[in-house]
Amino acid sequence: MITLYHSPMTRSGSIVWLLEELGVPYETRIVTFRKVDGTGARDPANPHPHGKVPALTDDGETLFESSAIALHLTDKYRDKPMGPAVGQPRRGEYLSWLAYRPGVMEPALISRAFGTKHVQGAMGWAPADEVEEVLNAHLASREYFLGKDFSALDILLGGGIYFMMMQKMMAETPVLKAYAARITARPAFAKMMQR
Amino acid sequence: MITLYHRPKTRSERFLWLFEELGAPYQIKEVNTRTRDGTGAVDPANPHPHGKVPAISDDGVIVFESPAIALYLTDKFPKAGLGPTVGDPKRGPYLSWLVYYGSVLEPAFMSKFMNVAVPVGTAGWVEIEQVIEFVAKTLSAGPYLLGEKFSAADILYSTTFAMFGPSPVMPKSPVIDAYVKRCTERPAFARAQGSA
Repeated sequence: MITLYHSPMTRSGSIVWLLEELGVPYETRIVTFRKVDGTGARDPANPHPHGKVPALTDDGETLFESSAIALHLTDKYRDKPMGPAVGQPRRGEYLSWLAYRPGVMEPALISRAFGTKHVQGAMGWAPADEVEEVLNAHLASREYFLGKDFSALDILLGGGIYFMMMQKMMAETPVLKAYAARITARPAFAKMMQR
Repeated sequence: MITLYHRPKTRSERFLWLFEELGAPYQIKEVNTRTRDGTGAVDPANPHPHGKVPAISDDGVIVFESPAIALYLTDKFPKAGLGPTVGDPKRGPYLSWLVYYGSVLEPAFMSKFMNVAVPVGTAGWVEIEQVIEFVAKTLSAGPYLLGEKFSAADILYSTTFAMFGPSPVMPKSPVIDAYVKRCTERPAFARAQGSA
């Protein structure tokens, strides 16, 4: 059985969305965590090393970090494939973008939102405006991250793009708005909003 | 043939080590990158979307970002035993540690380096002291991140700790110092220094 340690309207929502797309049974366990305003506390039931969400247990195996959880799920549950498997031609691209979301996109946009200067050659990520350029250029000619097939990338990166545009952390462009409309029209997105 | 897009003394250097551990054939393509002092430029030959290193090309398949490259390579050369494969009970921890490197460890070091507080609850990462505490706790049960067996995750972490080790942004930890020594004493590490 899959248990997702979840808090509504946080990053763990994307894993709800993914589980709904995969159509596999799971339960959610709502946990509290430390918030930016100082309220909230870590839930001892949450196996995440820093008490954050998401974390996931699957038949005794514990995973943390969204991209790791997504990769585990898309490799294990393949009835409705949500990403290329090991050895398939698009696997390299899939892994690269999965790593790009938390390693580049998020730190770049959060650093800009909090006014942290970008130091070229020191940070492992790129300046936020460059990240926006790369995402716009990539999605201008593609329906989804991997081309014509929707994948977990469109949940992790796409969901992130949607929420960051809503919070004015990412510049709205016609390309990104059309893309966000495409992915959020999916029934599994609506199901996420109810969990 | 796999090509590593590389610039000496940067984050791409650790992949020479991984290739040596894997015993896999590779070629190095040295590229220019932008640097802290304003010199250097994006090299048009580099397929990384931001002109950074590392990136690899495997007969035209491009992979970028260290955790992605590490996973791609250990899955491609499973016999080398440098990472648990799909279905192995250690696969979950392996994926978690690989992603945690890019999503938590690196940004945590950078927040400290820039002397800014981590926006808890907004950022996906935490303060470096918490990261070091968690890593040291895991290694106390060690000797490696996944337990008994050395993996590509140890290459990412030990090289990062070695890089930040002498700087004030790195909290002091004898457990981590011993870990770095253990990892970098491996013959493949020395071979990589020779090929760089």
